[in-house]
Amino acid sequence: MSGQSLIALCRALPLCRVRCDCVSSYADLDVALPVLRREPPFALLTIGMFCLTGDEQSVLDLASALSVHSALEHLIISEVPLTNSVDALVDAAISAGIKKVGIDKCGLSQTALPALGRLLQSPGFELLGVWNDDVSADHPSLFEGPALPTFFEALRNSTSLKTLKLEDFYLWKDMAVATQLFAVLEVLPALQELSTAGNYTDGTPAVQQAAGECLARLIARSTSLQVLKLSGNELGENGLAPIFGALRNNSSLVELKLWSEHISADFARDVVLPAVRANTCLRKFGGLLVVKSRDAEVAEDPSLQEASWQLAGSKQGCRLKVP
Amino acid sequence: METVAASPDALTVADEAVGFSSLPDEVAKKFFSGLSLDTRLRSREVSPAWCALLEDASLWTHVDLSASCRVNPRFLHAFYALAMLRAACVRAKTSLQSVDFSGVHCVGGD
Repeated sequence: MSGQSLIALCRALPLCRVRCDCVSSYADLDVALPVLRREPPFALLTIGMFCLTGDEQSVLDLASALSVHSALEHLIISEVPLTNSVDALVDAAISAGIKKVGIDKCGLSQTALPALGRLLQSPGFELLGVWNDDVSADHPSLFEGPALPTFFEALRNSTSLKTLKLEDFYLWKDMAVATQLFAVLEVLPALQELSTAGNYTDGTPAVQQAAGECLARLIARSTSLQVLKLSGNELGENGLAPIFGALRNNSSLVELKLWSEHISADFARDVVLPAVRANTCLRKFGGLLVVKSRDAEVAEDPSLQEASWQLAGSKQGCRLKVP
Repeated sequence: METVAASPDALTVADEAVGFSSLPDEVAKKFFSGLSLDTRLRSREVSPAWCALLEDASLWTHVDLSASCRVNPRFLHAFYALAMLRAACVRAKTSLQSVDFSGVHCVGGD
């Protein structure tokens, strides 16, 4: 709810513990700040998720308020250019004990890496989401520069990170960096969910295959990963083949999310179906479309239908008998 | 153990057999306290006896509209959520202790 509605609710219930989410723009941040500072009548208020859109000054004001707030669980900063405020924001979030942080369309670059590293090392930190919305592969990358090794070290040392969302910033354009990143992710003991949605490959078979092999190693080696979201990666059959190969022996992944990955009927029958038959824990996957003919007629393939039935059977705790 | 099919007639038989109406009020309230907020409000329409039991303030001290609250999702919009909160406040009188609105979706800026 908006800051105004939240204030009305708290004023109506001054002696009641209230927990809710709040969305604030810079226009009503001055209204929301007393809430964040937990001034009366907001002393018993817990904010599950607080989402701020605005300008950089509003982020600095928020950081100032956060330093005295101790009951905010999930902070999202959206569409604010965090050129000079990312350090203040992150340090305030750490001092407030916030365990989940999302940074949405803020155009983070390599200068943000030291701050993100500190966030990952804060005690009990659980969720980091970065949606960069880079408009082209020429945009300055987040994962480059002299601070990168220190960031990877901080990530490697995180024992509490459960969810990592790295979306929309051409992760696969530097395969050496992507390989380093995934080598770190493989050994994270608590990582349960990873999303690399919106990181398009350039569509070339070599890049698709290399990206698929990175993801396959993660699937094969991580014992904690349960959800993998790969929407909008354009992995193609070259990238999907190693992923489904790794799925055969995986015993932790419950959900694999793809989006509009076009595959042939032969690939569905020879690669997807055997992997789903052999896998014993996957409960949900989708996003594969079968291109049946040269004029790109898209339809559900019987092999994929059978794969869906296999998964439906596994949800019921049984496996279908396949001749 | 013999089971009873869930037809209206059978429910009547089951009600007589189990004797819900003969349960002590405190046990019946314990049962009601496990229901979601929307179900609890609807249950008041079942009978005058249930309605009387459900007017007890102790059943309305915690308003749970979190993401895991089991309230029908179509009621997790601000308009309905505030209506349910208002209904709970009326019955809780001065004993309302907590409100969890974290599962409530806002439409049009709430």
